[in-house]
Amino acid sequence: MNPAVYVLVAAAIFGIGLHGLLVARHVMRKLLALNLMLSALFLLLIVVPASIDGRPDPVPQALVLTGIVIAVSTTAFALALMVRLFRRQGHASIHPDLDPTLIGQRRATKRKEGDR
Amino acid sequence: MVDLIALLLLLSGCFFIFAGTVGMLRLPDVFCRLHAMTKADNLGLLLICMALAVMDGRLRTTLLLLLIWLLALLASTVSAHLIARHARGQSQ
Amino acid sequence: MNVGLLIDLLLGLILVGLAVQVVLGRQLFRSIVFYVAFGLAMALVWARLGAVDLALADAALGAGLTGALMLAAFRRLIKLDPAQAVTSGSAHTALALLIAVLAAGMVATIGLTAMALESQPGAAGVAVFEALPATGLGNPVTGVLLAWRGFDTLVEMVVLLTAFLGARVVADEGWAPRSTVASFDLPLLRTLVAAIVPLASLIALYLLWIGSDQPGGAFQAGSVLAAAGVLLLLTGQLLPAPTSSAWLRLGLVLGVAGIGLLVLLPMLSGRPPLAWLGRGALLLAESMMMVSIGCTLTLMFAGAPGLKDGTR
Repeated sequence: MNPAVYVLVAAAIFGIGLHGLLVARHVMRKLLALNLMLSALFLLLIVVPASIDGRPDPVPQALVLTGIVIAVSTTAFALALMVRLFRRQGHASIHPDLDPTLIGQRRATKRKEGDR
Repeated sequence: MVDLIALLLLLSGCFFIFAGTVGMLRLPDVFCRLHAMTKADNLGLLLICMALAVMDGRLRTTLLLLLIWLLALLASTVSAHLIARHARGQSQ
Repeated sequence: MNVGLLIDLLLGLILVGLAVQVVLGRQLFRSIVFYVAFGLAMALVWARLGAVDLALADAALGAGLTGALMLAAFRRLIKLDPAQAVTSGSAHTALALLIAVLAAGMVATIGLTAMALESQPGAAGVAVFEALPATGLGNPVTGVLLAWRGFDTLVEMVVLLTAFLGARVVADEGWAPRSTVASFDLPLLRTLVAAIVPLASLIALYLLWIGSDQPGGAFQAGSVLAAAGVLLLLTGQLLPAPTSSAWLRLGLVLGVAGIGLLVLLPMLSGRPPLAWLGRGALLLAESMMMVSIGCTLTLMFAGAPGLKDGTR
């Protein structure tokens, strides 16, 4: 078992996830990238501590287990927020200024909200 | 001797799963890909389970691996049926 | 170059390849499916590293249930507006790439430095292994979760419940009641449900029971129950309902109550927890947590406050 390989893998996945978070416009893609970053950090938390008499250290394992459940909870809440955002503004992006194809959509949505 | 049998079973299981994956990537139609995925993958999984059972040698492990294979079979059967129905409904 | 290094390199390559496919996928559906595959590959890595509890939990929760929740949300987007649901814009800039590379370098430096510094086993872990036989448990992770870091588990259950309540508050009234059901009713699906749901309940109870001595525990058992609940919702045996029954609400709060009593009562009575708790108390709290986790995750997938019977 070579921890150095997994440390480099965790670093690579963190970088890929951060790039996806910065670059993606759809909120669900940002959520997927965030989950990738979380998984990379969990991997780092388990791989770095030394093993105790051949058995893995149980305290980081319990912490990462807690982390996985909290990651699922936050993802579920974020997905509910995304669906609500989509219903409100008609698209699932939080950077409408950067995407030229969505600017017309935003104006149309604003007109619809003004009609109410 | 036991290790040799387990190695042969493992290698043939890996070959069948590899063949199933190649079929899934290269075959032209949804229905052909379902053939590759269900038949080849389930056979590969059975061979791998047999290799693990041979390596471990206990009855309990063998029965648990058989249960795992049967559950995987059930899941892939129902999934393949639903996918095929959906694909047929869409192509008509 | 021994076999272990080869396996680690192969697993690492698979993980990085899947992560690239998640971020780079043209279609959103493809990214979600690759994320589920990534979660399963992570479960393999956990098993390779010896953290079997994490492998079970990540396969069930991280890969399975997160994938199911994402697909359910994706389906709601598609039903609302198929054209705008999958906007495929990406703001590729050189600055983002630079930041990502620097962040990866930072994580690698932190990891390698920490690995060089942490050559001694952690004091907390050694203390756990020494104190474990006194509690009667055989699984150190369960011991850490319940006996020694019970407050973390209490906070975790509260976060789960709060996330569900938050999702309920945020969602508006316009959900479609049958949106989780497959669009046809086949005898095959009824056979599947009849075979899987009792087996899943048995496996959940087994994971709960065996979690005291071997890898398993309340979270893995709760996620298996949630998987059975998702199956019932997908095949139409259970349907989302606008109001929840008293039993369901009791199931939702039972977990917080169980772990809360477990960690707070010893504080009130003034005795140290390990002298007061027995295996039975831990198992009772774990079973309450299992019920609560199953109910909460099933309701999160349904996207509704309650469930009703769909067979009538």
